[in-house]
Amino acid sequence: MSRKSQPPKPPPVDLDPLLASRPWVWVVLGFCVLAVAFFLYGAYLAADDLRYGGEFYLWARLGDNLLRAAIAAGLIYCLVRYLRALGNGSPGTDVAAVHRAVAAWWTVLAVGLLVYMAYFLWSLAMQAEARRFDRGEVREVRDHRGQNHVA
Amino acid sequence: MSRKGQPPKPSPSGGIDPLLASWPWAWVVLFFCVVLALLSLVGVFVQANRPGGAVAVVDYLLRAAIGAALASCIGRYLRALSRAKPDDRTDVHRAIATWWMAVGVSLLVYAVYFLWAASTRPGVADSLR
Repeated sequence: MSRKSQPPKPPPVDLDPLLASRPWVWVVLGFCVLAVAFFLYGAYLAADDLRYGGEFYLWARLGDNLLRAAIAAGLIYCLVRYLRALGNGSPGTDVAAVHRAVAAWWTVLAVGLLVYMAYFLWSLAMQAEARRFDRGEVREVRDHRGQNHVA
Repeated sequence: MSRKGQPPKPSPSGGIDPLLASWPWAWVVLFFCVVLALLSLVGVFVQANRPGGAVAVVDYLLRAAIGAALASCIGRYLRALSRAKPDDRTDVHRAIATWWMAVGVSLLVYAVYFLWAASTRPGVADSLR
């Protein structure tokens, strides 16, 4: 405990674990960059296939790849922000900025997972519906007000 | 924002407010990791009874292990966050460092497995499309 006349001790330097784990953050960043490139290429292939026919599954694949690329890009942003905030761990490092970057990472990761899960379930349901249309199990009818309904 | 060369002013909570605010999102990620581990375990039992499903069993086992490891790291992080003191955030930082290591190792191991599986079964690469 510090005496009244002495200034309080500075908090212990606790950035060492984060500095030691920087290579792993670079590994994660590398995979995110690869993922963006890979998913954008997948989106390009899906868009290319769409020229020969606009089946629903092709649109679903295009959206799927674009969504994954967007999530990976969001994670890249958070990781770059984190690495910049951490710097080389000098005494002037703004620890709160490091924490904000980690918080942003959790937010982007969780929101990305939730949005992707919602999209995945929606596209599954839509593809099942499209298959039912293809098999002739359901058809679309127009009522007297000109609105379409599934029958 | 602190100027270069000057140490930042200590905040009353030790600067962990953003981490505390993002605590529900970490729970969401934890939930997804647990779901990944459990669904992968179910996949192991389903594939184990199928002929020629050895590669798929390894795939599901690997995913289950990754899901469990990541869930364990997030659990450790959340525990460290709830016990963090304003003047000592070492445990929180250790937990964050372990998380980065777990994510990095998982990605590397899964990439190696994926390349191996793609070399043995050419159709595996198409599953990503």
